[in-house]
This record gives sequence, structure tokens and C-alpha cells, in this order.
Amino acid sequence: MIGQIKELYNFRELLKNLVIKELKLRYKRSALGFLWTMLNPLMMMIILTIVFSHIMRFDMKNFAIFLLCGLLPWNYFSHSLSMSTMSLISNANLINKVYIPKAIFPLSIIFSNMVNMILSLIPLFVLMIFMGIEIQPSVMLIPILLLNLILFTAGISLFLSCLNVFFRDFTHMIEIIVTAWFYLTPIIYPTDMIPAKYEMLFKLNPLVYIIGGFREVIFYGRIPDFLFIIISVLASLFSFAIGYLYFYKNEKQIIYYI
Amino acid sequence: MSDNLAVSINNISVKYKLFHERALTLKETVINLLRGKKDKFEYLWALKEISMAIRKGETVGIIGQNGSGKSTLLKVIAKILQPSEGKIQYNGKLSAMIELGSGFNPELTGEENIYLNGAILGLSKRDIRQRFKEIIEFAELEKFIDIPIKNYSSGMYMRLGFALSTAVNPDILIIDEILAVGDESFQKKCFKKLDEFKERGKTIIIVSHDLNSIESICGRAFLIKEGRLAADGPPTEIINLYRQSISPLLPALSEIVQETKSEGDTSNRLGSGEVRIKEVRFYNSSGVETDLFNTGDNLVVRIKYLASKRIDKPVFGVAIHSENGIHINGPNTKFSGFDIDFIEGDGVLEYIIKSLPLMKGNYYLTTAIFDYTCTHPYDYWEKCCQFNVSNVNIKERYGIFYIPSEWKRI
Repeated sequence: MIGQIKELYNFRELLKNLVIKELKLRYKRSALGFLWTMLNPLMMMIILTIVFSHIMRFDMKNFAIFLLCGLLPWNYFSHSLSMSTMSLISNANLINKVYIPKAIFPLSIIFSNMVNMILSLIPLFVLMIFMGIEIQPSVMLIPILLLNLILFTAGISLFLSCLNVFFRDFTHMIEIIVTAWFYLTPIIYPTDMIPAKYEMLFKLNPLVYIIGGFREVIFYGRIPDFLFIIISVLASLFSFAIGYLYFYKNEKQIIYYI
Repeated sequence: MSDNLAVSINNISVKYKLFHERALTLKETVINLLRGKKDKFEYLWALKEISMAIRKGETVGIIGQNGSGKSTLLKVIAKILQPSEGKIQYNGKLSAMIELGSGFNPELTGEENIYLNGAILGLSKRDIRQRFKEIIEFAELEKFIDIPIKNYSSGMYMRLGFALSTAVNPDILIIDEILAVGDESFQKKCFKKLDEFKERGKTIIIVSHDLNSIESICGRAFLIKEGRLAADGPPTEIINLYRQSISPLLPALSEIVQETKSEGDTSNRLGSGEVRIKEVRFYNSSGVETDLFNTGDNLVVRIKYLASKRIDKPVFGVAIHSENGIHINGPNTKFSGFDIDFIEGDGVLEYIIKSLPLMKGNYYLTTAIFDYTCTHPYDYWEKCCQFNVSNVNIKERYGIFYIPSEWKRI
């Protein structure tokens, strides 16, 4: 296992290049280029804000900011999942022709999406200043939350990318699971809206902590309590360990199935 | 592993699971599981117990028929495929050219692709920057380096691929069949680059069907047959062995012809008929059709054929027999390295003898069209026509062959 990590480290140049490629291709030949990273969540936010505060009459102060705090990390998570599920299969040609540690492909997606995610935090803060919301010192915790989010997403992504080589219909299932997960996680609604009898069930959802943390530090401006942080760190480590182990146990079989 | 070895291959075997019925989706797997049905498969040994020791600075060729396992072997050496059993050890950096430009992304420019693919081949950004000029010079792409490579011609694409693979400056270079592509000047350039590599004491491993280049480049050859190492030795010897192992099929064929004849059938022709030889005519040096020649004349055989569908990589062959049945020669386009990509519809092929070395007599010409493995005849027309040679130009009288020679008193 040490050898594998060392090998990945030796290929860091490739990882960097693949991340750059992902970013370049995403914005190639689009007039607005990188601006899309910031425009996309803003548009989404505008739509959801109109729907929730004007049509569904959801009464909450600064609902737009509330929404963005959950939506940005969620977008990162769901985009990474659906893209990395296909990452090995869409690079089959390369895998058959050159030796590359295969984890590079899902990981390049994890990192390129992270660049997007960080860029999209910029308009969030601009919006907050614009709306006169004070930015609290608790935002200093964002790097830790990001690291946590990366680990959690990477674990699931490694697992799914490998599994999808063996069972090709997994892509379709992912879409359904991700949609359900979106509504089961307090992203478009606050945690206190969850009925008391389901509260325990919601507490089992790791995304409540991993994504919820962003809302705590940015929107509410408070530092989450210790247990909250411990659970989210443990969930991420667990996810990463499972994904990583599964991937390396099956890595050598990939070439025969791809 | 001793220090003077570049690659040491120890008893490797590769087995594939050959699925007859395989559940490709989770849904099928679950249904099969519920029904108690298991995936049907058998194991196929693509390679069996192969051991090789390739010394540093050696250039070796791996030859064998299609499906013999030589490409699998190359993939194993290139670390793409993990052997099921056995072990490989390396001394030095490895670079493989299994397919030129396989990592190219059509949307990216030439320059961006150089950086991306350099990284795929294990180069750092600094390495690439240092060799950047050398790469685009070799690929002759100075003017096109900043346009997306989807706009490149296939030649430009290949040049860039080759330039990149060699820029890695590996200690061990692995090449699969790729030298067969590209025009002549590009091939020359590639061979020159390979010579440079050899001079610098690098190890080169080549898989190719092009026996002539194997013979000229390699210092040693391996013959792979049905997944096993059949022979190892000097290229000329191994290539002869290989040719012998595939050529017995030709005499066997003429035996079939004999058999059909003995059954009272006068046909001297057989084959599956996708390509038919329409007519075979002889022409002299001034382009006049004739079947009378003199020793030393030019002789042109013009073969008209009709391919009813597209045939990839056909092999045309002729044979000359003397009147009393001596087999004089039997060249074909494959032996001569004159590869034909494909044929379709009507066409004409010429076989040209520059200076006919035959003595006075009647000779028969046999013409045939085979597939690339030379095992499947499309049309095999034995002794389809004859020509006559008289020796008015020379004074020799005996034998069937005129060999230009001289005498000297010492």
C-alpha cells in the first residue's frame, strides 16, 4: 500500500496535467470561460430563491446565502460522483495502451472539481458583503471542511469508478441515489424543519455533518460542536478507507473488464 | 537480477477469463444469482511459462503469427497487463509505444497535448520544457503547435506521437508494430532515431510483422507460438524458422490442386473467390504484350483482378516453374515488404523482373492472392499461363539459369 501511494506521488505531474486538462476542456470555446463556475451556482440560487421564498413562501432571512452554503458543497459532491463513475471507462483507450496508476482518473476529477468549488466560493462571499451579512472568523475552518469533503467524496468516487467497470448499469443507479440523497440532506431546507421522529434517521446521514458544516461556519457564523466535527471526520476517513481499499484490491482486474 | 540485464522475464503466464455468458450489469448479476446461474467462462492461456533475459543495449524483435500472444507479451512487458503468474524485473526507465498518440485529446492544442502526454509517459514539466523544441522539430510541427490537434492530418498526429515517445529518453523502449505506418521519409526518420537509441546503448523491444525490419534492426529475435516461447536466437535464423512454420501451408495447397486434378477435374484453380484473377499477361520492356523473351530482357507480368468486396491486406504471389516442374522462384508482396492496405473493385498489379536470368525453355507462371497470414487463398491459379525464353543475347548453352559471371587467370 505504501508502494501504491509512492507510485501515485511519482505520477503527481500527470495528475496535475489531467486536472488542468479537465478545467481547460470545460471552459474551452465558451465565451464566459471560468465565469461559468461562478455563474452556475448563482443562477441555480436565483431560481431556487424565487421558488422557495416567493412561490412556496418559505420565510427565512437571507435565504439565498443559506441556500448557496449548502448547494456549493453539494454540487461538488454530486458532480464528482457522477463524473468519476465514468472516469475509468471513458479512459479505457489510454488504460489499454499506457501504464498509469488507475486511481489517477477519478482523483483528477476530485481535484479539478475542487478548483471549481473554491472558485465558486468567491461569488458567495461577494454576495454576502453585498447583502450586508458580516463574515465571521469561523470561516477560517473552511479549509478543514474542504479537506473533509474531498476525502469523503474521493472514497465514494474511487469505489464507484471501479465498481462501474464491473457493472455497467451502476451509472443509472447513481443518478437515482444522488437525487434521493439531495432531498434527504438539509440543503434546501434547514435542519430544524426535520420532524422529531425522523431526527435519528437524519443523524445517520454523513452529509448532514460534512455539508452541514459549511452552513454552520459561513451562514450561522458559529463553530460546530466537537462531536459534530468528530463525526464528520470519522465519516470521511471511513469513506476514504473503504473506497481506497476496494479500488486497490480490484485495480489489477480492471484491465480485463474494460 | 544481474546488472547487465535490462528486462528479466521469469516464467510468466497470462490467463484470460473467456466469458461465454457474462453478466455485464448489476441487474443481470442479481437475476443470475437468484436463479442460481453462474457466469459461464473458461480460462484461456494467452501466454504460458515464458522466460526471457534481455541484456542491456540489446535490440530484440518478437515475432509470431496473429493471435500467438506476442502483443499480450508486449503489454505485460510494458506493465499494462499484470501477468497471472511469474515475475518481471526491470533495470531502468521504460517507455512504451503501443499506439502512437493514444492519449491525445483532440480538443487540446499540440502544445497542451505535449505537456499532457509527456506527463502520461512520466515526464516532468521541466523535462518537457527542455525537450519541447526538439519534439516539435522532430515532428515538423513548428507552425501548427498552437492549434487543436483535431485539425491535424494523420501524418502530423503520428509524427507528434513518435516524437513524444522517444523524447522520454527511456532506457528500455517498447515498440508495437507502429513503424509500419507513415510515409517513407517519416519511416526513415524513425529508423534513424532508433539507430541513435542503439548507439547510446539503450534496450529496444520491437513487435512487428515486418520481418525485414526485424532482420535489419534487431540483434536477436524471439518466436512466439501459441503463447509459448518457441525459439530464441539470431534474427535471420528465427525468421527462417518462422517462415518455414507458416509456409508448409503452401505445398499442402498444391497437393489439394493435384488431388482435384486426379479426380478427373481439369481445374487448376481454387480459392474462396472474394478476389478473382481476371487475366494475366506478359509485357516486354517497351510495353508490348508478348510471351516470347530473351535472357536478360525485362519481363513484366500484369495481373488484372476483381475484388467483389473490400479485402484488407491481401498478399499477391507468383511462382515460376520450368517445363519439367522445377520450382524456380515464388515471391509475394508480403515477403518483398510491399504491403497493400486494401483492394476493392477492379485493379491491376505488376510484377517486374528487371533482367530475366532464365535460359532457353518454356516456363509456367502461377498466380495467387492470399490473405495476410498466407493461409487462406482467395484465388490460387496454378500454371495459369506460360512464356518462352530464347537466348539470342548470350552464348551460354547449358542449365536453366544465367548467372552473370567472369573468368580470371591469376
